[in-house]
Amino acid sequence: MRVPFSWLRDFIELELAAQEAAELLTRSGVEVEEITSLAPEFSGVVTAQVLSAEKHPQADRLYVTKVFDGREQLTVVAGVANMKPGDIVPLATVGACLPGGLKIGAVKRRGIESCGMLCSAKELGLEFSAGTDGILVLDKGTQPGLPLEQALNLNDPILLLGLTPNRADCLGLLGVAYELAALTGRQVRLPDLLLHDVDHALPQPRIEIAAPSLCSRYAGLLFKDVRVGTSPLWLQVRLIQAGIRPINNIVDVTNYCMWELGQPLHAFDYETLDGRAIVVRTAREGEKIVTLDEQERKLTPEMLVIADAAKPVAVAGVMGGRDTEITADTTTVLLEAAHFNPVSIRRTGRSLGLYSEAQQRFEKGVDVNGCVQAACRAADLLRRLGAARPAGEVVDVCAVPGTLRQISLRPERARKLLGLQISQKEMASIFRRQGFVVEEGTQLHITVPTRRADLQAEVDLIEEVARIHGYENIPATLPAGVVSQGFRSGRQLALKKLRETMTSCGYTEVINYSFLSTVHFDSLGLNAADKLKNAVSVANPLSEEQAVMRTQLTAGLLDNVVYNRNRHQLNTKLFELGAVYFPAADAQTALPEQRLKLGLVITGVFPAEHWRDKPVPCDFFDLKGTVEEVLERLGVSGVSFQDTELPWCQTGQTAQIRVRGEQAGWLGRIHEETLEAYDLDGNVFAGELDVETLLPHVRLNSEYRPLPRYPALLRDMAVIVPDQVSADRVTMVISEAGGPWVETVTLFDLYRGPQVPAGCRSLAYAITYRDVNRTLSDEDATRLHSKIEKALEEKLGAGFRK
Amino acid sequence: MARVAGRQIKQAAELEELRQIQVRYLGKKGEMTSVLRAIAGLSPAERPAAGSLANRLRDELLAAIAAREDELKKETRRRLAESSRVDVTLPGRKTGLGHLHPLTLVLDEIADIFLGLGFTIAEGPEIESDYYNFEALNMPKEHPAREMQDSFYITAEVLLRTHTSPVQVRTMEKTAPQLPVRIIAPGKVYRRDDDATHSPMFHQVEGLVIDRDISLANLKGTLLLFARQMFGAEQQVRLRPSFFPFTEPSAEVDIACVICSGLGCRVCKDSGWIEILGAGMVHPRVLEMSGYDPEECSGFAFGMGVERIAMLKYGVDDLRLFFTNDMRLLRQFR
Repeated sequence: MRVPFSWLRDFIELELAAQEAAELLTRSGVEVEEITSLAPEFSGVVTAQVLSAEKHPQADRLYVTKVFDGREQLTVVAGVANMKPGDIVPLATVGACLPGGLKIGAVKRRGIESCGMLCSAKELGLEFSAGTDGILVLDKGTQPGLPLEQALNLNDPILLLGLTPNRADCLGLLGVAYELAALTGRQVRLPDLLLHDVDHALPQPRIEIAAPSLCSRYAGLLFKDVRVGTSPLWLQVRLIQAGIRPINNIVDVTNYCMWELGQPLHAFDYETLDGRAIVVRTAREGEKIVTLDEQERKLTPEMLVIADAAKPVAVAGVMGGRDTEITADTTTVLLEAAHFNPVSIRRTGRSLGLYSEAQQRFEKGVDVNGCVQAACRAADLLRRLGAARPAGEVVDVCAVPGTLRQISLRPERARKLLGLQISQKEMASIFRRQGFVVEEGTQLHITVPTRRADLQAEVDLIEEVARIHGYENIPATLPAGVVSQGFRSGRQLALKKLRETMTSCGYTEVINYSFLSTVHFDSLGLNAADKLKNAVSVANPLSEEQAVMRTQLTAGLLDNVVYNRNRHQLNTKLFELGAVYFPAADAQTALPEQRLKLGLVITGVFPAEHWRDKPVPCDFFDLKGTVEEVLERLGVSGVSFQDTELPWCQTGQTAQIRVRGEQAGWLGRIHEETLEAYDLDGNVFAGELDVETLLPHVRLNSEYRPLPRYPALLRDMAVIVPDQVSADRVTMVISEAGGPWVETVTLFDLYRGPQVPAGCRSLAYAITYRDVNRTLSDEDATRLHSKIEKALEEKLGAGFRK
Repeated sequence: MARVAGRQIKQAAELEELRQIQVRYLGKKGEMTSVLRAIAGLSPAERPAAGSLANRLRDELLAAIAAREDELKKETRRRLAESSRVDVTLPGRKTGLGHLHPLTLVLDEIADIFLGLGFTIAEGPEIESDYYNFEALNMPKEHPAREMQDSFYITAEVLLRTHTSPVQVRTMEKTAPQLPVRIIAPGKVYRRDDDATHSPMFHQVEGLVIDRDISLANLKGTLLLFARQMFGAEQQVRLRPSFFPFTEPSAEVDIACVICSGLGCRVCKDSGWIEILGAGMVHPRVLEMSGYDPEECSGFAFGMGVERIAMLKYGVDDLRLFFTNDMRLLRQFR
């Protein structure tokens, strides 16, 4: 909402500068985002009175004019002579600057010296309505000798309001004036809202509201003696300041009144209305209308239209029709001031792709009791401009009258809710200053005018008290009451620990968007039936890149690797802790399943290049080590890894992670084809853990076990087993056979070669034996060692390198 | 002999040489040992004098050897140290720690502040029902305020939550009618916006306190405390009236600009203030819908944009940078 400051002051006498008023308004919640002005693009232009205008003796198309610039008489040569002696016109004096950088100097034109230039609106960069061609003739009564910007009030400050949706009342200057009245204690000055000089000569229009749920009020006012023309410049300037293009005096007045009172008005050429009737109804199937912007619009039965006896003549509250618009030939006008259902207006506007100033106001809600006043205000202006004369009283059809709300305010409740000591008297005054009727008892009984539809209940009035009294006057205190203890839940602690462990392992956290493109499904090589392909789709994504909710974190992490590689960040360890989503069975109303996942990816060389060490490309075991580390840190036991296959992973370097038999994730080397799809190459390993599966197994509390009191014995064993026997299996047999005396089993070498049969490998273990109750003898260890060897031989067909 | 031995000892350049000298003179068949043995064959009259002289010389030799040995050892160590000298300015070998995302760091910091004030952390789903995201927050269908938050829909009834406020409702429903409620709810939220100050996905932290006699002044006090913890002990907060359908009275909350300390700059558009969150007193209708009696208790709620706080805290000027996951950016945060 643009508020031209001097126009605002028509409604309230203010001693404040625009800046001060803006600060007051902003502090009360009517935010002034900016103070601007029309800022003319010219300088050195003054008003001058035309004394005479005669043909140039030496040139057919030039005129020699004598003008008075307030101090002296000057001769100016002009190209047109639409002005008459006595008219006030803009004179660009010698040295003046015009838009586009034109500088005015004293020049001789066909032998006659011209002391400046008389300007048209266009030359001054002013966008007045059509009909103001030629030299701009200023409004009657303008003084000569004034700077033009002063004469036209172009430097008047304009406050740009950023209104919250509840403050529709401030979409009219009068509403802003009421706000300032509350803030300053000044009185609001209402304009003349009575109908004068009515000529009852014409029969009155028939107005019918056929859709009362969509239109609660329709006021029509008929005008005769219509003389369509241009509006005076002062009015046009105000409209331009408001951001509205001046059209003609009739349309301009409708917009002018809308700006003042917040009530949109529409003018029909009455003669074009079939049957001289107005029917407010919904559109019929197949009906069309050509709107003011020359577009043919298809109407649907949800849309409210203003129709005459035969056809729609306007899309109610959104845009008028071309065939009933005001033209130069219009002689009779029907002015509409109505109240429409905001929801209906919004829907119609959206589906037609329109968003007019009128529509904005109807959507946010206009004052149902403001219709008649707005029509009267327009009548008064039209009469004063000599543009039209009312031909009857306002025909006010009210389907649903607006009733005044009375709300009680308990002063003590207000004080308590605000934490503010404020007297009942002060509260009452806050409402009275804005013109509310207040009855005082133990409570305040406040009658809320219909223009303030946002005030519905006591709490709204309490906010009003706080707002006008000033939030800056509210003290800052901490809540009293029972002291409660803040703590992180077990889940939250586990996640925090998880993140910390990941960074300790050298991984950096990323946060990717939760939505992604379906292209990733192909890049990952998912087949049609893959569960990961069954994603939750966003109905209205911003782009195809964000079409579905992710079902895995790997795609995002691979994107991160690409992004960073492209920026020469070649060695990266990344992780993300984030949700993935799967559709619910009843996808219409049930919420999708949301599962928290830990995704990790590693690529490049680790440890990173160092002057002392040879860089080693990372491999499967770097990633697996991190997974093991994380699970250990979280106290998750019973973890195992099994060979598996995944579409985006290389066979033979892919493992399924199980926790006590439950599937809890995967890790593996990214498949060549997937790498290609991401424009990657080399060693990239990724994995995902299903955090929801892990959480029940997390044990964050550390448990103390007494330190050993008896020494351990360390023995090595090189086990030769066929390739298909997994290392895990060997370790298991060792632990089982050795029983409680086996403390640790550490694999320290893996060998294939001449000393080992083909198809077999040698696994060298260091086994620590310990008895917690006594010192083990060499014989004990030897006995255990051979027991283990025997078990390995029997169960796995193992041989031994001695 | 003793003089020769003394010279040899002094000249010994290696420990090994010194040991040989020791063997030569003091070993079982050493020259000095033979002298000492020979004393036994002297006459009783000569024996004492010769004995004490020989013993003295032997002791002197031993001492000289020990001294020289000490010198040589020191010398060897010195040489060893010299040869293994390193350039201490060469880079050390780091384990290579990872970094938490700056948004996680800020989220943790916010959480810690409120944990200290007795809040607990609540969570809710990112894909929400229309009821929790809008209706239960006093935004019935067609409420114009729904447009303040242009939403991503899944179906007509299911959408990506546009704010963390639905967690308020979920928490109240679970807790009602018990008092007090003190929670924060951090999490991801989604709106159809994408420019330098908006991202289609971003993070919010919701706060909610419900108890008897909770006031707007309490909200102001709590947020002042938060601002001072987060941005420095001298911080000021300013509440400006605003509008949210689920709070009444509502406020937008500014802190003194952290860039210019309130003097006026480009970031605060010369106002000296920067908006960091929206807040207000929980609307009685919201309390009622969630099972609390607005005559019995009252509450305040606030919602802050985590990216915004991170931008102010770290001086990051483009919100979208947080989601590029550029290592060169992420490494800057600890």
